[in-house]
Amino acid sequence: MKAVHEPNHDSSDELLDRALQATLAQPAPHDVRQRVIETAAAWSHGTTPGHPQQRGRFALPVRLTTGHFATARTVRAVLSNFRGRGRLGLAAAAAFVATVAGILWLSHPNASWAQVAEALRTKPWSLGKYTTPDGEVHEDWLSFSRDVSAHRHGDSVQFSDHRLNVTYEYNAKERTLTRHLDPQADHKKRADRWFEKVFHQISRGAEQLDFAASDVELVEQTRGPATKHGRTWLSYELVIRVVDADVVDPKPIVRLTLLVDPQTRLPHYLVMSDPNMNPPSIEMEVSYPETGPIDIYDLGIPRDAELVDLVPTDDIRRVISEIKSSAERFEEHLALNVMSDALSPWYVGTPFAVWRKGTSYRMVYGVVDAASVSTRTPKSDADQRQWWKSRWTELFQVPHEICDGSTYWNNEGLPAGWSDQPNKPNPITWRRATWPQPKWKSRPERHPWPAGSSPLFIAYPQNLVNFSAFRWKPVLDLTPADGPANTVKVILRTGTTGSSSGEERYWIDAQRSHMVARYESVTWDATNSPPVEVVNLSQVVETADRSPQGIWYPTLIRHISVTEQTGVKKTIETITRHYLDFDVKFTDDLFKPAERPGEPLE
Amino acid sequence: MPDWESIVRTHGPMAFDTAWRLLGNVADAEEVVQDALMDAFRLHSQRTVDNWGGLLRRLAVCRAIDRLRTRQLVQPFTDEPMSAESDRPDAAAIERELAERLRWAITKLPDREAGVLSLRYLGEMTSAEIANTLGISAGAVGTALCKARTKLKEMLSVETMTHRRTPE
Repeated sequence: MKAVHEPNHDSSDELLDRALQATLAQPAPHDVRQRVIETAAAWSHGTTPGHPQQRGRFALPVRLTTGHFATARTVRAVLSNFRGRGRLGLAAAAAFVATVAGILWLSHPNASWAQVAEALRTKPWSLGKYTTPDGEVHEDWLSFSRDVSAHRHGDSVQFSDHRLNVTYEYNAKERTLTRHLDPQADHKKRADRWFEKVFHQISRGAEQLDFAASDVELVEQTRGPATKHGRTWLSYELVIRVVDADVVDPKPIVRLTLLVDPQTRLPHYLVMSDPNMNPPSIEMEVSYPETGPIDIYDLGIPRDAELVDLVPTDDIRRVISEIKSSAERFEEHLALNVMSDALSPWYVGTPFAVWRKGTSYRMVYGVVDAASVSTRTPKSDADQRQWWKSRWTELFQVPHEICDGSTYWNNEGLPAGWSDQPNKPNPITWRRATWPQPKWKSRPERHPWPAGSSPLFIAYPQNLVNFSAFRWKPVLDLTPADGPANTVKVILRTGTTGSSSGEERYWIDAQRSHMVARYESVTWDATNSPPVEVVNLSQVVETADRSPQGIWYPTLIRHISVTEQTGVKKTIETITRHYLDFDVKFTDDLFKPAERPGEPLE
Repeated sequence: MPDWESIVRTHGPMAFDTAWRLLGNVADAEEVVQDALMDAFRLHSQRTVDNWGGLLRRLAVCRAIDRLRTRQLVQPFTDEPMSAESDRPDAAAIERELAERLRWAITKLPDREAGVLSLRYLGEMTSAEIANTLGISAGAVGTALCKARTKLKEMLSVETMTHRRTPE
């Protein structure tokens, strides 16, 4: 470990140096570090064989440009409901107990829905309170009748209107009030569904609980009387193991104890324990006040706080909704796609086939066998689609990605020496005899979308189809000064202080089913002052066609990327041609990692 | 240009450790480093980088400081003065508190000072490496480091902490 002492060190530095030493002395979690490294190291493999969305040739891994990280965050966010991580975990636990309170209400035995509704009206608020080891009091408010919730501890205040899917957060330091879409909405819904199912069964006295959840499993559950503060309560104890694949072994085990009033069936205490949580155990007391905060200002926020509004405008929502609609309506198809250098004739390139049905897809590359390279020059009037279909049978096929709508498989089987050549020429050529058998790696897929492997990926990109207002700040330009005619421009911005930041620009053709007609990925080179804009990738749809249902899709896309090697900028231009077939019929077996000799285009 | 996998395996662990030291939280460190690596991966395809180790640590530090600030950490300690003795029975707890206090204090520094200090002490980089990574002079690094240390010493003092905890 490097000494932290500087020259001219005096005694007044001692506390600072001790603090630095203390920080350095905390052992890093080696298992997590290893997982992060292994995941990132595999990104370069994820590019293989290349696909047309990449910057230059074989640059960006497929999953990076789509929802991979969003998915990881989704999983972690949901897990935080169970496991917690410092204060975030406590907040999640607070949200959890509010959920539990509501569910137990809803599952009140022998109550009709009308009685439940009446009960909700008579108990308009629940308030969960807990104290952290530093003495700080956390409050969680929930109103079913108003469908709002709030959290407060110290200067940190958050208020959510669930009907509007809007959350307000106050930053005391900057005296700003940020309004944004609730980033946890999907996670909460998923967790709510799970809890609702579990507690509904408990309230009905089921002996065996049905736990059809991918992330958690019930280890043990008991029910019986318990005494606290001189009262007898009905105690529910659940022991839950978090089994999600993204969680490092050993899988965490969380113990939940609910103390319920046997008369009213309302919960009054929740104890949540996990030795890995900080603190390892928390107890929340739940009460049911008659009044509560109806907006964030009722929680003490100054009314002159500056409002920062990140909620997309109605115009942006409408455009995104149209894009999503087109993507979802796009019919099942087989796309034969060919990636070529810009100066190459249409028959020189790397083909890749994509079968797509709903949220399921299969992507396979065609690779030239280096041991028997054969080049063919088609007749001048040859049908390009038919020629490539025929050519496909002369290549050997490498399946790359498969998704059945809920599970994603990636083929990590690569030949030795593959990574030594980062920019591979088109067509991809390799010795078939040395190409290994597929080595599939799977993970749950929450937002399936044919990533980078289909013209749909560019025409209806994941960033817009599964738009996350939390991650992106969208800007809509209805009359852009640049880009193709008759388009509107949507800019998605991201970025954090001092790190590389950038934006994604989409020119959307509203007259052609809101297809993206042009795309740019831009970063700012922060090594210059002021930072210089760098367009790393642009994609322009040059020709397009319509599906049988009238949804537009690209048939030729030009990709221009800028790379820099040894200080010299280099522009790489490629073209992908897309031949789509909507008449093909295929079964769901196609979307499993089963071998399909020759990967026939049918 | 070195291949991505070797860059990650060579320099990724130190970037992770740097973020971990700054954040002291597994989930945050994991997410921050993933994002930093994603930034670096983009750059890998776009330009030549002389010092991948420095760049990765810089990206990790920037994001970690952002994350620390987002947490809106409230100073979580008692008003008990920090003892200079390390052989007390509760020494380990005190050391953890010290580390947490330092993290809180770093969030209060200006960007450059926070970054330079973090790279120097938590990222274990030399002043020359920091200067090269940030594209500033070695003198500017020294100045930022000196200012950061001065401010941190002040913020870590008991008087400051006690004052800060006084309700407004």
